[in-house]
Amino acid sequence: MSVNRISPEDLMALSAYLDGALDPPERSSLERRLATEPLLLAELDSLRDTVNLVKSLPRLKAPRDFTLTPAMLAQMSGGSSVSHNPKIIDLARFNRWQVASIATLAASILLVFIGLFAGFDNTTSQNTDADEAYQGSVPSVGGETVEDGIFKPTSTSTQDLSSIMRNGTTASASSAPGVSDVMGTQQPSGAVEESDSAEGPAPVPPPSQPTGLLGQTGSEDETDEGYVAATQTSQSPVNPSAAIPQTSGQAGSAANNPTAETMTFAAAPTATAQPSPAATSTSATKVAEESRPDDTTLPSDEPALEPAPETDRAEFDEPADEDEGFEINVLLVVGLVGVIASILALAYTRRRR
Amino acid sequence: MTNFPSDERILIATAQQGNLDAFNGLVVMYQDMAFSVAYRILQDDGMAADVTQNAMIAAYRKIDQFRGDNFKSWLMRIVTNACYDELRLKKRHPTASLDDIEGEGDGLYFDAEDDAPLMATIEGPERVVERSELQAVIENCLQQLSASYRVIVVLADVEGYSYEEAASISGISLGTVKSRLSRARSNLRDCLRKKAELLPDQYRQDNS
Repeated sequence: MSVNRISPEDLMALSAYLDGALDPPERSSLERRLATEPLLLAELDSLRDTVNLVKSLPRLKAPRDFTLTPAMLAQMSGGSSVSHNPKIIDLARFNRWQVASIATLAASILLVFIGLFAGFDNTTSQNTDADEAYQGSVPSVGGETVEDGIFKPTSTSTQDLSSIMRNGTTASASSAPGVSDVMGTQQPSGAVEESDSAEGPAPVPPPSQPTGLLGQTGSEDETDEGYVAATQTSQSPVNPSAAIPQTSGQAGSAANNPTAETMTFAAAPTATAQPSPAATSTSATKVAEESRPDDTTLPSDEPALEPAPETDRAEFDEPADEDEGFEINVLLVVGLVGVIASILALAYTRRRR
Repeated sequence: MTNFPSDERILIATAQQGNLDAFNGLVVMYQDMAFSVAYRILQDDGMAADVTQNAMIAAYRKIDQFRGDNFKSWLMRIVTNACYDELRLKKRHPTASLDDIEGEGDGLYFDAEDDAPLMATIEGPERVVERSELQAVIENCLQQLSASYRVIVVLADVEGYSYEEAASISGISLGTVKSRLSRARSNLRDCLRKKAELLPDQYRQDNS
């Protein structure tokens, strides 16, 4: 075994000597050394054997014809003269960690905002609470469209490629494996979509889009039901923000499960501030429905505190006051940690490019 | 697809006027080489086919820019660049493709075995197996080289390009080609030695 016996210069000279690429003076001086240095000679022999082995590799046969068809060129004419489908390159501009970092950043900022506003507005109007929280979710809605913009091309580019493959001149039985392999390798880009959305819940607390990212499908009917249920419980359909205390109380009971917490919190402002299509979360329905039993059991405890017509609002305010402080802290901490982590992750991924 | 004029220069000149059939004549001429290079650099069947196809399309689009007399090198540069792009892409999605690399790497062995009977018809079946095992070992050692070394070994040793051609195709300097090639060969030698114990006697006698 050659362990540092041969200097890189000698290695280079031996390698070039094998290829006949040395100048005559270099060659003769090397040959003189080879005559007297058995180690050098052994090195040369082993390199020669290696090169001969590598040269013995046969040229592979193309698995199919790569001749071009007019249809193929028409398919690609949308792109530039880059050798790749340009959409794939666009996808590559953000890797999935960067996408995840950006989404996490947006979500964390939202968490911080929710935490802050929930804290400050606790004593003031609930209406602004809901409004601000809803506005706070706007940035991450933007984040969602960024993701869409990245992921959508994947499917289209895969389609492009598959139609190109179909247009290929030979799709014979023998070339079929090749074709499927090609499609197989395209899948990673498609798989980015899958795995990203699959990984979505972990790094990305998805306040803006609990439905899509958490894989819950909330139809509009459910939404309406959920909202109706929420308003029924609060018994003040005119003032949707009344649902807030309910949901936060609910979140407090689910505080040991971070995801559930985020979901509930995310659902609350959305459902209250925007009763219409925006509230597409089934969690809103769940929250509302789950809070109804409480509704019926709890009234006897604390109605005296607030004898106003909105009895259940009062009773949900009471436990919420305790829990909210804790939750807000959790939210702020989680949010700030998320912001820092995602900024670090972004910086790291950027530097590596 | 077979009755093209065989003269490469005529094909190129005709293709440069936008004749797709003439260009396809060039494709047929060079697709095995292009695929072979792409496959050995990328070590992945599907990716290599993809890169080859895209490189052919890119070459057709750029063929009016082709000047000179070495169409093969020109085309190989396009293929090699497409491979670099693919490798960069793979690097950016390591988790997406790491399993693929390893999985496809095994498939590589079977491809080599598929080809073996063609080139070894006069040898006995045992020799065929030995040969394909040996090929598999070499391919595996190639795979373990870093991509920048692998490109040079594939161009210079597998495909037999001169240093100058390899430098022009891969876009690096002549000195870098020489040093990378020497280190790549040394690494390959060490790898082959390590695997020699797994190989039939015939190889060990040859190499030790």
